[in-house]
Amino acid sequence: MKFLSFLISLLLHALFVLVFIFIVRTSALIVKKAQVYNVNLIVVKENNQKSKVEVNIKAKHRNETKHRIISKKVPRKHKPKNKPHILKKSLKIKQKPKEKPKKLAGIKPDIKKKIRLMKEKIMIQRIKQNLLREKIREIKERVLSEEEAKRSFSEKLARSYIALIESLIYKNWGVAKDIVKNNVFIAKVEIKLDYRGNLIKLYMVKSSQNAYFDGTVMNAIKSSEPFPPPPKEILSGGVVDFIITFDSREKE
Amino acid sequence: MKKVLFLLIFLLITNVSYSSTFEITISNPQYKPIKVGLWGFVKSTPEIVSKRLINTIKRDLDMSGIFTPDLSQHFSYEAGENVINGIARLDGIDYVIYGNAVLEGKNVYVNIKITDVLRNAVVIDRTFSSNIYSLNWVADKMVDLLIGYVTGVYGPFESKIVFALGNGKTSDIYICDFNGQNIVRITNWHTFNMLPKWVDSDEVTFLSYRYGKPSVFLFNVFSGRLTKLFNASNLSIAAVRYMNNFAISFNRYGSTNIYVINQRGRVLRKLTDNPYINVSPSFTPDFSKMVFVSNRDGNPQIYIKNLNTMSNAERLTFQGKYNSSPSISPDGKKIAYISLENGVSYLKIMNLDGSDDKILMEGYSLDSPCWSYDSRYVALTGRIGNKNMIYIVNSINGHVSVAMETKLIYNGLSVSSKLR
Repeated sequence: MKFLSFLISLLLHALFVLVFIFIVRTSALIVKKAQVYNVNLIVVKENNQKSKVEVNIKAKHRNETKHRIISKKVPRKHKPKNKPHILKKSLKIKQKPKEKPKKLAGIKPDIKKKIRLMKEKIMIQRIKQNLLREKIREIKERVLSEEEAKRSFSEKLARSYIALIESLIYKNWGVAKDIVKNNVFIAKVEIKLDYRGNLIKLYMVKSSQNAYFDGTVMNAIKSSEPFPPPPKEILSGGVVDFIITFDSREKE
Repeated sequence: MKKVLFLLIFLLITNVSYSSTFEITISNPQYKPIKVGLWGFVKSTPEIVSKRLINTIKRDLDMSGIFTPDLSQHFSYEAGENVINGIARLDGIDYVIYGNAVLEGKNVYVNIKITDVLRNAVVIDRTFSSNIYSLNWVADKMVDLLIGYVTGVYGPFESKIVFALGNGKTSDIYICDFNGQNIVRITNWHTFNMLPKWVDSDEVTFLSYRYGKPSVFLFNVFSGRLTKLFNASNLSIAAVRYMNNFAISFNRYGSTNIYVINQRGRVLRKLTDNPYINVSPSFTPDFSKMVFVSNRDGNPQIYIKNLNTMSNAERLTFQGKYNSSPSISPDGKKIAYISLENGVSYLKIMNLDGSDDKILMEGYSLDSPCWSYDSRYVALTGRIGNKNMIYIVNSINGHVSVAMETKLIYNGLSVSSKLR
């Protein structure tokens, strides 16, 4: 009994498997045939690389025209009878598989466009940078030349002011012959003048090691007060510093 | 954006850090005498004291050739230092000497200040306890201190000059201050005493005919002790210090050479060995070299000899036919000597190698040049008309001053070292 039931179930299973195979085979054939037509039609029309919208419009237009052509051509009956059946089938299926190529065609130009746009943007940025660089250079040159002119003017002013200070101090500097003869005394003094020419700092940076000589140096500076107001171009923070070296030697 | 910011910061920095410290070098100073305000002493100071001090200080300042005294006394000792400095500055004075003195019995208490107007500070402030006769020394010391402060080398006024002064028949030895004051006669023998030389801070040698025959004596000026050094020569000679002994030139075996003798008159060493006349030795401070006068080339000329190697003497003078009385400065750098040309005598100085030979003074009968211990001044005797002088010459600026003036004749001179 058991054996019998086993055989029956076996047969039933085998039957089911056969039915399944049969169904799968038949459906696969239909899809294959439809795919062949679709591919031929779409490939021919999609060769042009145009925008997505244009392609769609043209595709629609073509479909319409083809419908017209087909409708016109049908009465002629030149083509084999089974072809319209195939066409009909293909037309029916056409819109479904066409969506896939449509998607591919739409993405590719998009990326390319984006790349192109990106490239254009980069180019524009580069050009902008170059322009900016040139402008900076120009400004720099202009500023530097202005700075240089300002500096040379300041230097001229400084030189004339220094000469004035030098002559003032020299006029008040006297040393006894006895002390400096056969000796070399060098003293260095730092002075600071405010914008009015007032002496606000007097400092012996380096002594000559002779009290008298140092004294004459200090006295010469004190006796030269008040100094003429320094030009504002040489002032720094409202003051101007001088380091004055006094040399006992006679120089040409 | 970042670059613009950077540029702005750069510009800001460069603008701000633009250096405004300028350097100036000033040389070739104008020559200006040093004016010293001699503003005297407070009113309470006894006149005898203030007068003495001021006179001596003024004399020393004049003789120094460095200072110009200013005696415009608008001064009050009680005035603040700033007031003193302010007034002095108005008068163009560089230093002010002022003080206060109190007389108590025989003692005098003196306070003297020297203000450096240039630096606005009292730089010397000394108090001395003295007697009335030593006030000159106080004044001399203050001037020496001032010279030391100004030049860096202590002044010469604390030294003494020993000299011989006579009338042609007799001559005696005297001592005076470097400025010619305080003359003291140390011999009174009614004979001919001459050519005195300081050989120590308290001893002098001189030649005397006291016992008929010329003899060299050593005399201690403080104790009065007299020692006969040498009498084996019939020459008019002087003895000078050579280490712990004496160098003396005398005639022996037909030629006059320079010998070293000890205090007993015993000959120790012969410094020159030449058949001609070799006299007037003077030594460098380390006694390594000796300059002297020799006529080995026909005329009296000055020679130098290295005593370490005892090599042949080198001739230093070539100008003129008569160069004599060489004297090496205490610092061993210069030689002062007398040159005679066409009846005019010159005081000249030159370096030890004979270079930088120059005339310091021109006069008549110039003789016996001798350096002061600071190597700045040369004292010598000379004559103008019928007056005989002791001159003090500043070897640096050529300033000449007269320390003493007399109608009598000088027979030698020597300057001491700094006395205690």
